[in-house]
Amino acid sequence: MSHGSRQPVEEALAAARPGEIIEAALEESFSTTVTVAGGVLEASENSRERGLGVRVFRDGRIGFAATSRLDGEGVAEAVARARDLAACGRQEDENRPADGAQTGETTGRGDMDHMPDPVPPAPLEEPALRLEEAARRRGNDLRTRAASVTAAGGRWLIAHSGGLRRAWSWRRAWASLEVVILRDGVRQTGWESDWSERWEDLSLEKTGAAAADQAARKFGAGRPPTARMPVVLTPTVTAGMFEALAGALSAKAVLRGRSLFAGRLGETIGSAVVTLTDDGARRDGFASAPFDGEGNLSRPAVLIENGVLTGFLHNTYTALKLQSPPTGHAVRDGFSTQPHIGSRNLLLKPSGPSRLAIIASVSHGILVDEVMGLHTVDPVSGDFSLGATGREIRAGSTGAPLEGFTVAGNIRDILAAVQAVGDDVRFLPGGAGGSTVLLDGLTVSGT
Amino acid sequence: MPADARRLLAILMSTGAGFAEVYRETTRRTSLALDDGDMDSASVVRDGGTALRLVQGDRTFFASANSDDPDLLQALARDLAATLKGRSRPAPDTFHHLPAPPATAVERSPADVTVDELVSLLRRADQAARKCDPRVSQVTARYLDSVQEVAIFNSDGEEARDTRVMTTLAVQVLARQGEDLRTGYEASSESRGLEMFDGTPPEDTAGRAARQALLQLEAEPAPAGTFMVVLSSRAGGTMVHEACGHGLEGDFAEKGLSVYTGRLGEEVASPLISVIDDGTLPRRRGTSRYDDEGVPTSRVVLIENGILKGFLHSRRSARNMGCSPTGNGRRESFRHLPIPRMRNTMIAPGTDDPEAILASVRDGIFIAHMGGGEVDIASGQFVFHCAEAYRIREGKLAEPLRDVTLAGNGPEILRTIDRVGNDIGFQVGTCGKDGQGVPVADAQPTLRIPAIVVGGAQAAS
Repeated sequence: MSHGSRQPVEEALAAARPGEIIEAALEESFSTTVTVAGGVLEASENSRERGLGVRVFRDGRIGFAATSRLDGEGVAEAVARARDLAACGRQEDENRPADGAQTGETTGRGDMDHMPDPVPPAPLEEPALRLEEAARRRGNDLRTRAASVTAAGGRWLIAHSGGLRRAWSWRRAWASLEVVILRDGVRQTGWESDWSERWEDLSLEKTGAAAADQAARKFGAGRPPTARMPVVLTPTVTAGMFEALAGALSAKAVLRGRSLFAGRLGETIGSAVVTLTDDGARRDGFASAPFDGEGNLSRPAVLIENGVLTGFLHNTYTALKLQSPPTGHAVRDGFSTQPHIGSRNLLLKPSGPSRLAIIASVSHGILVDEVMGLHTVDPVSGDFSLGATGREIRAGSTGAPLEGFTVAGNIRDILAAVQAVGDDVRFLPGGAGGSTVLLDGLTVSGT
Repeated sequence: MPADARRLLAILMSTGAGFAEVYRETTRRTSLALDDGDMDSASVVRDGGTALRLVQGDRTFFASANSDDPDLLQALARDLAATLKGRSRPAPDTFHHLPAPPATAVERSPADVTVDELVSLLRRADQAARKCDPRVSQVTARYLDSVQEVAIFNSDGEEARDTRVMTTLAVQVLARQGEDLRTGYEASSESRGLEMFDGTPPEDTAGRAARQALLQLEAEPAPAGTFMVVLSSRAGGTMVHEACGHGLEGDFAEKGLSVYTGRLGEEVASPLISVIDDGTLPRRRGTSRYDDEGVPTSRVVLIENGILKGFLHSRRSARNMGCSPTGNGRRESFRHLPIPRMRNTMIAPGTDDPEAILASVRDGIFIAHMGGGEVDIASGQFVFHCAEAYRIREGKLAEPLRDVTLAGNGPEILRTIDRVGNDIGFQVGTCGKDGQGVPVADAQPTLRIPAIVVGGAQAAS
């Protein structure tokens, strides 16, 4: 961050009146994306972001305002609006900012506080072309919707007038591509992505080839019969399903009676192979940072251990309310949104077997490669019904492709149905991690 | 036109760009949530920034910053210009406005409303939901407004200014019976000010959300398998949005990727089906005067009596497909490139009596309320979620069913629809594509689909 860039935070904190605490979160970031298609550059995008989020804590109430105007007047206006809104907020003693005296070990990276240098578009063009080329080499009937490489980075400064001051920087790169194969008048899509801390470390060849293979194997797909049968989820599908479930593990949802897990702490809610954790500080996670969006230390949260519900995702408020240590799960999507409880590096712990061993153990079932409609999973009732694409499993091997079917049930049934969690863990761009998972039975709806 | 925007255009055109654009936006958003009777989160956000775009042939160079610092913006403009090596063109001396649909008059701007008044609107919603039934256990009522001021200047000497005012109320209701906890969700949202609540009082939205949650308590698990389905006009338009709307967005079509590519003039749906996207409908959530490239919005006939007539275009997709932009180049904010998007998408009403359509089904599923959906644009495979559904037995509504997802293939479903009602019902939503969310509305008459996969959890034994 350039010289004098802490100014907006200092000004906001200095505006605190007796009896109130002002918290200010300053975000500075850049994002550079290069998109190619058909072997040529299609677009280069370069974005700069700088803004301040202000929370006023007063008489057990909170108000929030955000601004991208960082001069004295802009900051003063944000403070005044946040103070106005605090006047009508819900009053609770636990509405307090993070404890500045927290100490503890954090293994998070990027705890230095200098702003990383923005990456210009030029060096990203060659990796984007390589990504696409890896897909195009798999067949000349393949077209690219977009193949892109993004390099992003930034810095957060979060402080409050009650004595907390946190700063850290971050850097991420990700690659993704969407390809379509046209064969005999039928089109099939393949999509794949990868991420790493530096763009130089992205797995471009593997990612590009995987997208092409995904599209290619869908040709000739039929619809499975309607039945209850063993289902194997790929790592991407597992991560998506458990991320949808994480809403029910938010301590806020539990407190407000909006979770199917409310009142069930200490009870068995899943099979013995289900151990679900979320550690915002682990080194290999996409969402890793030493602190959360309120400045709490990132810590490992064990949510489900050997099938027993052992904890929830917390922010400062829920930790005080439920007298539990904060877990560092107050997530800020950007300077303009209030911190909310969310999952970070959610992960279902592997139970041992490899992906191949899991598939080999199924005599008659379905491998689900992709699901559609994850945003419709209801974390209150736990019910889900998802469109799916996949493959038959017969006598321990994958076979004919399948599409146009659904898988449905309740999250409770899923947790109880987990038979094995594969060792092929991968963290997706966005946060959640997953691996190949075997469910002993799920309702498949088709013909 | 402000001198600083002209200066930025001059820099962007200094190396021979085919097209250059300066997009400016300031947005003020208010959000208030009444959770369990208490104000839980309240925020006011002032956001804004500038997007610079330079287009040369098929290549686009884009930069954005949420800053009005002229030094930073000029440096970003110089970086963009430096990617080209052509001869300088002068920036236009004068700018003209393209004719656009009239603005919807805003009677009560969100900027003029006090927080207390908004809180009382939320309290009305809260109380109305609770009054429905003692099993209503929890109500979250959320108010959102935004006032977005957009100014766009381009190298063709075009200037567009647009003020988009949007007011939204979203209500989530939880109903509990023993251990069983069920959700209902309903939203009303229009491109206008707080006068929206005169036409749609908060009590209506809240009551509908509550009834949905209560119904789910009575509902039985939905069956799994392929069924005849009637989509009620009050179910909204998620089906048309997913089954064909996305596939008719020009960015997929121009690259030959959509299931509808290359089929202009061909029959792609039943002759009973006409599909229109209309950005000019007064007050609808997907309405505005100009799109986010300064092109006036319009009424676009996509499918007429089953024949594919056109696509939704941005400037880029229109140019690559040799036609005119349709006013569908949209972006979530100055942070994004504009891409072809839907606005208010609908299947036109037909001639059948909705009651007669229901009565025609011996055994099937009746969908009374749709939620979100998703589509694979290349293959046409799509899903849509149904928040309220009933079994149809002998032409009459029977037991309510738990929320369920339906899955089908777009062109296949559109070809097989065999009854189209003379009614129509709208629904609002936020459509996500390429990481950008934009406000939309969609609508359908009552429709009969002879066979579609119903994704229940209850496999027949």
